[in-house]
This record gives sequence, structure tokens and C-alpha cells, in this order.
Amino acid sequence: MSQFSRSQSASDFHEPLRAKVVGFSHVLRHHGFQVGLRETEDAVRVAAHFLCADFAAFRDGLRSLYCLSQEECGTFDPLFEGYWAPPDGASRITPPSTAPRKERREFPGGLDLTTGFGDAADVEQSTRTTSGASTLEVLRTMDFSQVTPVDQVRLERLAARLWRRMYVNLPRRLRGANWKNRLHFRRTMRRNLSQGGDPLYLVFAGRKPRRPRLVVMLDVSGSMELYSFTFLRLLYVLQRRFRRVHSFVFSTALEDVSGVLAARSLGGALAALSRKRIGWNGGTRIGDCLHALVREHGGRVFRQDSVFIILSDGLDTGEPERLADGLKAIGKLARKVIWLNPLLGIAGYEPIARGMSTALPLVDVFAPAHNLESLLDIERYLVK
Amino acid sequence: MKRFSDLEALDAGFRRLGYMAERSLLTPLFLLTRLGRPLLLEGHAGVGKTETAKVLAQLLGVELIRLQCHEGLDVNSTIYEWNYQKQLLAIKLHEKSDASPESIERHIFGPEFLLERPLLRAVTHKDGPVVLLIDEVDRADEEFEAFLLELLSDFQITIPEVGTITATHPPFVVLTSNRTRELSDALKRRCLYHWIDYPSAEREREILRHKVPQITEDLARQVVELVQSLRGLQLEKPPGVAETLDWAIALLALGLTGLDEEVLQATKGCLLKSTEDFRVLQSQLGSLLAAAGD
Repeated sequence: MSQFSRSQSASDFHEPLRAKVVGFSHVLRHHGFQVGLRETEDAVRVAAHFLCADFAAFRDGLRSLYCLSQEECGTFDPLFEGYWAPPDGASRITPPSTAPRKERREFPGGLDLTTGFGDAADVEQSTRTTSGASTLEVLRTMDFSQVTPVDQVRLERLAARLWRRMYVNLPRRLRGANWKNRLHFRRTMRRNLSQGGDPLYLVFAGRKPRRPRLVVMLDVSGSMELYSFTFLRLLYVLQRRFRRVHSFVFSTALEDVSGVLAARSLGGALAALSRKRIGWNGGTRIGDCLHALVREHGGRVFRQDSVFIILSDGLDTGEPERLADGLKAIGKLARKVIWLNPLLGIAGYEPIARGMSTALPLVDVFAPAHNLESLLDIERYLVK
Repeated sequence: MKRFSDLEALDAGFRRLGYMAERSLLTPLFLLTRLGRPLLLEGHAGVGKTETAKVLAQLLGVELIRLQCHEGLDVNSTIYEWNYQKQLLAIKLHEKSDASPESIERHIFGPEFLLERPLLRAVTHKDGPVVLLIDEVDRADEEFEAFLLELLSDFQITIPEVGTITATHPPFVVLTSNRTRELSDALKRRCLYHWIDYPSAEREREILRHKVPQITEDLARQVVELVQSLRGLQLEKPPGVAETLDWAIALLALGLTGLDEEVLQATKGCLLKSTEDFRVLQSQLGSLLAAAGD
């Protein structure tokens, strides 16, 4: 068995073997793997060492080189079989021609929740042809109930980008406090360079800015129908972007969906959601659900710095007193209670519905949530 | 440091140290020692990711340097920090001497003022390579991943005041992640990747027999069957190998030789860790026990 090491160059190896491995890299790249020169080079070394000696180890070795995730490992095995050892009767996978290929993207389909969002090809096509600053501006301010299936995808991408920016920005906005607890030596030295090194001006290390925890509760009852699916999809983006988010959906009962939304793909998340027994488009019992949140999950999801966000139109069928009690209990657990109401975006809306008027004095922030722009405003409330 | 000629030797070594590794894990480990690429291990909690690195270090006979990741890790706590107090003192001491400012500067940014943190220590280690374990890298901030890139691809660290320090003996780097968030592609592409799955029933029995030698063959079979079918249910926290071992030890401590409903009720806390999971277990109790009993 040949020994191998980093010092050997790939060109030291047998030409046909090299060509074969390069071909395999092409196949993988064609199937969406990120394969660079370095992977191929190392793969040649692995092939030279293992191919004849231990076929299973050869496969394991290449898998660890080429794959970046568990999902890719799943795609890898059949491709490997098809290229290196096709079963009897099956044709061998050959490297694709170098002609530019048509890019295709997997779009989650065949699910109850995802249907109605248009054909994937359709979406891709129009995403390509129309984009630009003005379109993005329109998207940011478009009412969620008006969003077309085509815009839906663009909206999610935009939301992912903006939320990411918010995630990075937040600690910066939170900084600048002057807790005088500990000297910051590096900054002190830098500050006093002009004094010849005498520490005249002391700089103190502030407390490390921490991103607040979010607990989000989304109303998926009938009256929210126009908004809840969009919110759900945005919540998915949020859940994946922020690590300290707990997501719940509710109508007549409360359901913890944090784990489900943390799934790898939106399609997977929505499929898992549709398996759960959630009263989609049912009535609304906000008070009961708030109590359920406090009772069953309160200790787990709330910390001192938690911010509680409820996304609901406030059209409650339960008792107003129960809603008030629930909000009071949450107010004791969370640092801040934010109520986002999509109806607030409608001109002339007044929060006079029974539930809403009870809740209003008990929340810290009452704000609209009918478009992306208004949702992004929560950055402001998180900092204050 | 020891070297391994082939996979068999590596396998034997791991077994000798009590780690029953799947064959598919051994190949990436072997490549880690040969190609010098870092290895990223992902998998559920309790499948032995951290243990792999520990055993590897023991087996190679080298030091293990461990960096436990958490939110808020930064350069100062992972790579290096200047000893500011000492630098200030040195400046004061030199004030009376007639040393030039340049020489003082060179002096106070010398190696004796540098506090080495784990990553730098792994690179500057004098006597041969080390195994560097970067544990639960998904817990660290995304910014921290960027610090790692230089280290992982070229095994070097750049300190502005000193220059670039290249490893004399490139460390064997093992990263682990529970996948609470997705790591960046840039990081992953620098690594070999392996997903550690739960062990097969046969392998798990082997582990059980090795770690809990007093267990009877029959009980080991029942325990493993039940744990394996539990993992097939939609649980919040499916039991890992560590839970299997805990449970087997608990059963032995109670002097039990077989499984039934009462036993399972009394000891379920060893396997499952949340009330939701208890509820699932309750609803599936009959079928689980029937499957394990066969």
C-alpha cells in the first residue's frame, strides 16, 4: 500500500486515476456540491491510497472530503455508487459536459402550507428579470396581505438579509454603556499613547452587549389568515438567524414551534408544522394561550433580558380579564412586551376591539406589522 | 508520537482504549492524521464526538488542547492577549534608563509579554503536534468562525505587533458541533466532514458490554432494542449512547434482570429528559416493550 502525505503533489499520481477523480468532482459540482481544487487534489491522494485496497474506506474518505452537511452525505452515496461501482444493469454516471448548465433550485413543494405560492420555475424566472433598488423598496413597504407568490420568495430573501444586518447591528447599538467595573487595558494604553504611556485617562470595560432573547407568539387564527402564513415563513427566517428565539403559534391552543422552525429547509419546517395538530384558522383564545405559555414554558424560555413579541390582530373570543391577567403575568417575566398588530397598517383602524382595548395599557409597545418595514422597526424597540 | 500504518491499526487502537468506532468514522480520522486537514464532527448530543478527540490524543500519545466554545468568545480569550499590567510596568521601569523608544517597544511586544490562549498554544507547541479540540463550535458567535479560518487552512496565526506565527508541528484539529445553527461554508470547506449517527444495534450492544461488563446478554439486547426504537419516535431529546449506559447501570444497581412496564416507569428519567417526551413514551409504552421483548 502506498503511503501518502501532503508533500506529494497530485501530479505524481497515475494519470487515468487522476482523470477519474477529476471527473467525479465534476459530477458532484454538477449536483450542487461545493468542490474546489483542494478537495480534488486530496481526493486523488485518497484514491491512490484506498481505491484498490479498501473500497468502503475509499467511499468514507471521499465522503468526508466532499460533503459539508448530513444532507449532502445522503446525496453523496448514490452518486458515488453510480460513478465508481454502478450496480449490474445500471448505466454509469458520466461527468457532465462543460457547457453552461441551467441552474435549478429545489423549491419545497407538495405541502399543504406551501401550496398556493406558485410554481417554482415561475418564481425563479421572474426573480431574475425584475430586481433593483426600487423593487426592494416596494417590497419593504408592501402590505403582507397583498404579497403575491412570486414576491413571497423575494420577500423572504430580503427579510433574511435585513434580519442578518439587524443581528450584527444590535450589539453595536447596545454598546456605549459606561459601567465602571473593570479597566480595559488595551484601550487605556492606546488612549494614553499621546501622554507618553502615562495612564492619565482610564478606559473602562463596559459590560458585554448581549443580544436580547426573543419570545415570539404568532396568532394563526381565522382572522389572521391573510397574514399568518407570511409571518410563519418570516418567523422561520428569524428563527434561523437569531439563536435566542423561541417561537410559538396559537389560536385556541398554544404550540411550541421553535424546534420545527429550526429545520434545515423551509419546506421541511412547513411539512413538520402541517403534521402538528394546530388549529389553523380556528377561533382565538389569547388569554388562555398566554397563561399556557407562562405555565408550561415560562421558566424555560424567559430570562431577565427577554423581549416578548405577540403578533395578533387582538380579535379575541375569550374573556378580556383572562387576557389582561395573562399579559400581566408575561410582563413580570419579560423585560418588554411588544404587541404587533397587522391591522394597525390599515388607515383609520382604531384598537377598540374588546381584546385589544384591554391589552393596550398592559403592553410597552404597540406597533403595526403589515409590511417588512414595520417588522424591522422592532430593532428600535429591542435597543431602547 | 505514534503513527498508524492503516485503518486496522487505528481500529485496534481505538478498541483498546474502549472506543468502539464505526468504520466510517475511522477513515476520516485516518485522513486527518495523513492529509493534515481539520475534521468537523457533527451529530446529536451523546454520540461520542468529544470522546473521539480525547481518544485520538491518547492514542497518538500527544497532548490534548481543548477550547470549549461559548457565546461571546473573542480573540483575547482564544488566541492571545498582551499582558498589559506587565507592559505598563516595563514602560515605567525603562523611563529612567536611556533605552531608545524603539527598543522599548520591541521589548514590551516580545514573547514574554504575550499571554498564550489555547489556539496559539496549539500552534506554538514545541515538542511535536497536539490534538486541538474546538468543542461545540456552533455555540460560538459567527464572528469567531472568521478567526478560525486562518488557523484551519494554514495553521498559522497573525498577531499584528509580532507577525505571523506558523505552526512548527501542525496540530490535529477536531471540531465538534451539535448543529444548533448552521456553520459557515468557508469554515466547513476547510475541514473534513463526518456526521456521527447513533450506533447500530449491534455496535451499541458491543459498547454496552464493554462499558458495563456485568450486564447479561439478554438484558443488553432488551435495553438496546428499546433505546433504538425510542430514537425512531418523534422525541425532543432522543437518548444518546450516554443515556443507554446510564440506564443499563441504573437497571443493574436496582438488581433488575428484565424489562417491564413498572421498571420502565421507574427508570425513564435515565433515558428521557422532558415531560413532553415522557408523554410520548407513555402513549407508546406497549408497543415499545413488545418490540424489546421479542
